[in-house]
Amino acid sequence: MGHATSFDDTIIQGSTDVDTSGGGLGFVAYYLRQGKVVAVCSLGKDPVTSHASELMRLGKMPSGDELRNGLDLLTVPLKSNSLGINL
Amino acid sequence: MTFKKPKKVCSFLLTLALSQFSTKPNVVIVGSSFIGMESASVLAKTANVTVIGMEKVPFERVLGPQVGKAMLDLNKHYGINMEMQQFVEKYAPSPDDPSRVGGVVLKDGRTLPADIVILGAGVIPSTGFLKSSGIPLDKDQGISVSGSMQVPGFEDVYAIGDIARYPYHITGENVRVEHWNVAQNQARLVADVINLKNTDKEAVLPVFKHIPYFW
Repeated sequence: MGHATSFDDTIIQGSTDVDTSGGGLGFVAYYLRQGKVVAVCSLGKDPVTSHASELMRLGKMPSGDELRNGLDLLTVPLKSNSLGINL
Repeated sequence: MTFKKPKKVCSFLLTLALSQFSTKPNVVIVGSSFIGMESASVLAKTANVTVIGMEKVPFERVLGPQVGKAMLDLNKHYGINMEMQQFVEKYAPSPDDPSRVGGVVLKDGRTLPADIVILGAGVIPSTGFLKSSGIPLDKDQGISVSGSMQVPGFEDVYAIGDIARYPYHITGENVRVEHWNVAQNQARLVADVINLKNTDKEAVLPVFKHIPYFW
């Protein structure tokens, strides 16, 4: 999701290694430009890309640094209530 | 026969093309991005498949080297011959029937036997018919539009989908996105724009703020 005409960094969470039986792949790839996520792709990690698309739309995409530290995007909530508390 | 799903049409046509061969045919695919790689995975079990790509790994420019390597490894696991950093010199006719292709000659001199060649080497907008219309075309033959998909200088003329270069609010760049969901959602936006203009000529028009997405 997203559209990166260029990116200067990539963060991979999960595995991009194919094992001897052809399995082993399961990753989320974040494409950054100046520390900001501009695109995401994933394999075997649904619904993370859908979730990313919605976070992007809402302006709630976490920073590259947070993702580099292992933040699981699915734990970032889409909604917060009127008190600003994440739901 | 009507087909509701384009991917199934692709599989059907490929299966039909392959059914004329009594032995496993040699299929050479030119291009290692979406079209090429998708064709390769569909045909991996029913044909001897080779993919020719200019990049070091497939999808390198679009998805980066790590994801590209994963796709390279996956294809190799399924017996697809991956000819990366290779270029096509020409296509050679079949010795049995010169009206058919018989091989793909690479720039390094090797000839890959080919019963079928699939070209997935990139597309450009087919907007040549607008050359004398007065509508300016971009360098890549796309059409630049406003955030509401309007063609500047032409009242009630819109361009959407694969051909339309529009301002992408996330990065501030003008982009042309060839995803089907972008085309569909831009169509919805234009319908809203037209309806709004019909009811109130001074209305502030909605702007496309969709996040491009596909699978």
